[in-house]
Amino acid sequence: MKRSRTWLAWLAVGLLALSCAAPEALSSAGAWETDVSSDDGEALESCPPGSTRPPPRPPPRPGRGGRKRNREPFEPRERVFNAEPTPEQREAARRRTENAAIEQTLRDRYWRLKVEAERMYPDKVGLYEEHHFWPKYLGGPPDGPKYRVPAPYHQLITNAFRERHAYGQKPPSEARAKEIMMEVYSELPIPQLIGIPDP
Amino acid sequence: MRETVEFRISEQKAQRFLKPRDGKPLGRSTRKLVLDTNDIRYALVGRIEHEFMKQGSSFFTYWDIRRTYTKKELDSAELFYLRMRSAFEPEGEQCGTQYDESVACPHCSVGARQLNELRLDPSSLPRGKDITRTIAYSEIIVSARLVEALRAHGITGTRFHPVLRKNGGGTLDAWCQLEVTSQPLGVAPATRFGVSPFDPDEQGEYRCPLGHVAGLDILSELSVRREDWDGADLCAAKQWLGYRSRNGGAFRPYPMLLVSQKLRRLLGELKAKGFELEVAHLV
Repeated sequence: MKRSRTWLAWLAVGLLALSCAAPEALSSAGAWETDVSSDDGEALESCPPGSTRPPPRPPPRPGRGGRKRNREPFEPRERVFNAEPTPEQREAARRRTENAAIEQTLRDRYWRLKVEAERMYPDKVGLYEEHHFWPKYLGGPPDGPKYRVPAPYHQLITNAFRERHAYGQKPPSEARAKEIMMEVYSELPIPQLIGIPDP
Repeated sequence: MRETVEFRISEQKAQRFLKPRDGKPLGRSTRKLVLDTNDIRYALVGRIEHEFMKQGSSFFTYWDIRRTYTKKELDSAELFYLRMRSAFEPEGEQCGTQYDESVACPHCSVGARQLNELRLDPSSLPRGKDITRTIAYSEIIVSARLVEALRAHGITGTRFHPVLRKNGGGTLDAWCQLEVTSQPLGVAPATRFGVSPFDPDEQGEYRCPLGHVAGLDILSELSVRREDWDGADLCAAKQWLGYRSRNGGAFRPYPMLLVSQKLRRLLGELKAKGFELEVAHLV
């Protein structure tokens, strides 16, 4: 009896060792083998000829980077970019707003000065003249940019320039000429440059 | 001699830095301030201008020095600097006058050769003036009345050329172009040049490295070398003023003209207009 038990124990150990060395030999069906050697862990299945196909596996659970096949239509979308403006964008927006406000102020001033100029120079009402943005007597090029402005308003601009630099007395330095233009155009804007295409 | 400087300052800046009684308003938003150079406010304007210059700006937009003399000072002077006070546009180049820039100084454009007669727009010429120039500053014309008087009195150092109408359509009989034929006079070191009374142009922005142009403008009385004077009644200084516009503008360097006592008296008798005379010193 004791000998038969020892024999059975030895048989069990032998069978266990055999199953560890060649597990496929003892697989339940002996028909399916699963290769799990691929890196991404996705099983590559191969079906030997003549065997029945097992039921399909459920789709992988959506996770980070996975596709959401069954997403609810009204479910909020994932945020793909940062909607908060950067400090630079915020500064640019502030400047745009400021510039628009200044432009509007200048437009109001232009219409007021135009009326005033028409009252001062009634003979010129209805006439238009070409105005050199950089006046020639301050060193501007003859073929430089010109703007078509109402003649009475042009007279106001001319007066403003000649008040600041007497005509033909001496050539101003380039820096001083630019300073004069800055002063004059902040007071008497060129209509086309503040969004009035047809002054 | 009394020396005053006229400044033109925007009303906004004037209100900030000057008292309300300083200067008088000129037009809509400019204040004209005339100060004696001995006035303490002149130094104050200089200090403010220096502060503005540090920020790349300027306190005043225009300045002009004027000097007045006693009769005794005028009668005892030998030479006078003729400062022109009249100008008009368009300049000759816009009316068909041609220049050869290839022979001009590459730094300052002095020496550009005029290739044809000066051509001008007759409708733009000033009335009531005897000496004037275009806004190029180097094209100087003299009235026929004055030319006749200069010839009659044997004034030396001048030559006159006809002036044609715009694009060569006939001669303008009332005007002649002035050419100075006398020996040019070297400028003495006592003469100061600069951009403004408070900016001597230390970087030399408006000074020709070859010595053709002394600066943008003259700040002091003109002093010239006596040994260079050949006794002519009309002369020009060797060093010129101004600059050639770099952006295609009209400006060209222009000469400083000097007149003798004889010519000064003649101009006074004729009541010629368009200029002022300042005493020049022979050293």
